[in-house]
Amino acid sequence: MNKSINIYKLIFSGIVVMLLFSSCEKEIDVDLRSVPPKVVIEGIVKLDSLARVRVSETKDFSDNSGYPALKDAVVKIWDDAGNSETLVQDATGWYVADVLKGAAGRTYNLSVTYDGTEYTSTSAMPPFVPIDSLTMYKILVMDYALPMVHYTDPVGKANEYYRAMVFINGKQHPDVHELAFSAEFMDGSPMHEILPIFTNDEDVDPIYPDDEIEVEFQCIDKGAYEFFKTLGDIGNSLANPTTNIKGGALGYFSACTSDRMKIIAKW
Amino acid sequence: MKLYFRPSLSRTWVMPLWLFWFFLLTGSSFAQTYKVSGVVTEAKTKETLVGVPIQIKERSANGVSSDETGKYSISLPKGEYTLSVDYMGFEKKQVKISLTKDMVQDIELTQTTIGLSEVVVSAERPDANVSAPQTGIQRMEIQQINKLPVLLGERDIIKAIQLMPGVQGAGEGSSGFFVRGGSVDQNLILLDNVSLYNASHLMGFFSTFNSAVLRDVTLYKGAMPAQYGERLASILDVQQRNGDNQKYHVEGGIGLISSNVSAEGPIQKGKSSFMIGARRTYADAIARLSGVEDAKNAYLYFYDLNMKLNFALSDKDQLTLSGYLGKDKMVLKDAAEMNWGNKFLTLGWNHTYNNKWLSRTSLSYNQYDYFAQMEMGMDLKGGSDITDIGFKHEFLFQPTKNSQWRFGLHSTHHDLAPGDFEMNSEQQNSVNLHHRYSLENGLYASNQIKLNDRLEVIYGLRLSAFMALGKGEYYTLDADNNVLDSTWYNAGKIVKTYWNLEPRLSAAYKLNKVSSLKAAYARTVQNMHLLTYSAQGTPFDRWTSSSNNVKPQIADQVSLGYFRNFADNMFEFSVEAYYKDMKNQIDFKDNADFMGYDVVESELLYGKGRAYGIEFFLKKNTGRFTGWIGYTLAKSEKKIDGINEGRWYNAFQDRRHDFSIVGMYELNQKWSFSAAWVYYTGNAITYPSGKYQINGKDVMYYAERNGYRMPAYHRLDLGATCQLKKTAKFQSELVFGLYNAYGRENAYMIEFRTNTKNPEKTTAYQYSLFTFVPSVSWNFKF
Repeated sequence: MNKSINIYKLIFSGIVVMLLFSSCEKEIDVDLRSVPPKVVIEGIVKLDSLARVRVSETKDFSDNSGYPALKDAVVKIWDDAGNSETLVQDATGWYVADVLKGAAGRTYNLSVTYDGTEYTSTSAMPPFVPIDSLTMYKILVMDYALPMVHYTDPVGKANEYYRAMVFINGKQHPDVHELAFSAEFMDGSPMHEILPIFTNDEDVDPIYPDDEIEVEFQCIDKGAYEFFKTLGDIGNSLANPTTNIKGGALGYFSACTSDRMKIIAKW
Repeated sequence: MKLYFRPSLSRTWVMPLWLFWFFLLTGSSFAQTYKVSGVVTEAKTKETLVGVPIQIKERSANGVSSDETGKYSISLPKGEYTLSVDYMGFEKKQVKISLTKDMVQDIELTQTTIGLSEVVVSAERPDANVSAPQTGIQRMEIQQINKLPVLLGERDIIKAIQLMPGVQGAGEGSSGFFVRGGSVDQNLILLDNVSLYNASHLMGFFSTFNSAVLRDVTLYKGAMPAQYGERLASILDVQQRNGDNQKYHVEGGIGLISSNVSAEGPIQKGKSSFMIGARRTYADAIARLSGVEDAKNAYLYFYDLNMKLNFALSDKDQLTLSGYLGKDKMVLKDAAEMNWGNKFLTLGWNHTYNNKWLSRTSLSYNQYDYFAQMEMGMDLKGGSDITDIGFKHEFLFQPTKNSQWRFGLHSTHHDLAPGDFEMNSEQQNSVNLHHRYSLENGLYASNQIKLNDRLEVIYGLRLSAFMALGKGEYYTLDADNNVLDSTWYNAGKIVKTYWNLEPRLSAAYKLNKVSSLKAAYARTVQNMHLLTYSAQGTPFDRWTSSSNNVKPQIADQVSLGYFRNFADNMFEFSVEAYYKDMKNQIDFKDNADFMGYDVVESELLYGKGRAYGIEFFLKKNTGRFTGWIGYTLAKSEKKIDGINEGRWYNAFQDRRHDFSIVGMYELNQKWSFSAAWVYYTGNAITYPSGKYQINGKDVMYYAERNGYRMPAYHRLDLGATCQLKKTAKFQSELVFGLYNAYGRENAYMIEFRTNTKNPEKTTAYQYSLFTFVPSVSWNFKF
């Protein structure tokens, strides 16, 4: 249903162009008050991959020095099959498991302790759902085509939520919102999801012919879906996304499957 | 038709004299008296004139005023009399009658011309600013609105109303407005007494009101009289024109992006009339013709159809049928389509029993709907609608010249269909959200009375009863707003009734002939609530009604004002202060989602609100140069558990300063000019308090709601009208406009995000919509 909101936004931007309103954009300086930093956790347990967790914190808006990973956090992950591991930080700042890998159907628990506070979360990995195919879809009013992912939602409640990440020539575009889908109302259907790749740059299209488009397609659980859906809508809600981490941190913990497919952009 | 009895207060009535007259009148009913009655109309347009004082020259104590339908009636002993009318803006008129039996004497008044300015057909007494007991009221005549500068060549009453103190536009080009710190949905917008759920076209750049078919506009900013209710902050009462029942006329306007045409005339001469109007925009077609690539596969327009039929069944019965149909349409070829609009039809019957009793009855059908469809791989289509069926019955009783009573009953059945969606892939799925049914009732009595020559009051009481009805599922929520349980109610079953008593009082105390003090208190109750993220509102917002969980919003407002006129009513000045206390105010949880779910109650948070301010207004009414200066100093806050740790925070519509300066100048017969300048403090708005990184991208961190403020807004608009040809048969004019004449880049939106050119940085971007928008349109009338 959120799609209708997205479409409304799309059309709204469409009409703004059409009416030739002299909509102009300029950079401005805004003096924002500094607030105490908050811990940010990204926890990922991907099918057949080693569990990885990044712990960082919020920065002032005007601080452009990057988002360094926090050291000295104690990060633990365990599943409902009796596996448990304390993750060790590697050179990139991520805390990475040595042996613990994601398996479909298992439930994973996360504990991150930093500066005396413990943050916990749980995520269950849904069964694997592959991409059936990947195509490009051209909307007449747009200059470029958008990727469209086709998959079949299995019957039943085990798979209801999905997420897509789009890599254009190997890179994610910073302007592209998080894309999360729900099959709540379409259980057991073949699905055809258009992936709205829009940018704020009027001069450069995000996709040109012959670009290589790669889509990573994940099955996620409800907690992760709520996070990515609300993160995708943050420009509208102006509120922090709904996290599945308890204890007061921002971010998410997601046990997910993953399938990838590539297409050369043509239209 | 205006709802006010306006006795002439320009003359000093003293209480004893008035009592004497009262006894004389009652006493004389034993003697042989005859009745003279008739209708007061404007000679050229045949528009009925309300509140025109008619004096009997031979009996200076006797006089009446024309009522809401322009009728007057007076009983006198047999004899020769002179009916005398001296009413501002019109030539003096005296009619000699010989009263030997009951007789009908209609009075036609001709407009005078003062200087070169066109005189406004006004139902106001000239000193109404000082003498009328109603406080917090703004009236505008369409002729006055037509002189203001315009955006894109469209005259718009809502944009004009936004220039009044205490009223603030919801944003650049928006048809939404805030009244005394209230939100957009706290305004009841009535067109011919039917409530419109969305009064905007094209995302708000135009209002649903085609000013060519309107007669006048009244805005009550708080202490509304008891016949109005259902919203917390204000009532915008807009009336369509009656057609001329003598002659046919056509008028129209052709502009750059829209055109309108209206026609009126008699159906049966002197007895019945019609008025129809149509308006359509064609910006998209123009863009297509001029070769704009993006417009080739997109359509975007709206149209309006207005109608009013008027039948005089007898000299005591008048029937009106009025209707409206408006639609906005947006199409992106092979991708998406959406449309939305209001439509209504209302049948009204006015019956005059005698010169003291009048009744008004109306039945209306009203619908707002939107529909959206998308075909991109999968089909998604669906929409939502609100259907109202309303009944109103009202008696007006005027026992004496100085007292008028009003008793009435309103009843509206609401049917809210929040969403019916269909999704087609290889198989079909549909989501049909439960309808919400309710019955909104109001029973009221009010009295406007002149207690003595200094004090005049309107007091009244409204009893509102809102019934949430089956059929439907109603939910029991726990302390955290999660659904604990649900109960099914069958059709017609009452789920919950909210009874509320709404006392209203407004009084004017004349300090002397040119100044007065006014005070008012009003309680208002609102049972229909708009759930929206956007301050201006969008066509896709969801309305919800009071239920077992959502309680009616209640406001208590007190206001106090000082009013003074100068230089023989040439200048009006007023200062009004108000304080409003609001209960059961609604705000949303973070990330609330209103689309596609039955249970919206779980997304809502409740608390209280307060708004206070002071409004200054100085207006020059007559002469070549007219205009006004308005200034409002105000504050509007909310305190809601679950938002900003339960502290008081600024409501979105909170604005500290709001200025508007409007000037209109008649240079000569051919040219007139206008200018309007507005300045206001930016709205309260949510800005991020920091940022973090997720999936390698910048994400804004929000720590408080509405903690910041948009940059201040200011803008100058200019207008010029050139009268091309003016004969008795045909007249036409060219209207030039320049919106935002000095090209101020006002912030429409501020976005915090990754820098477009340098992804290592985050930057705040400001978007502005309109800088220098010129327009020209050609209006004609024959």
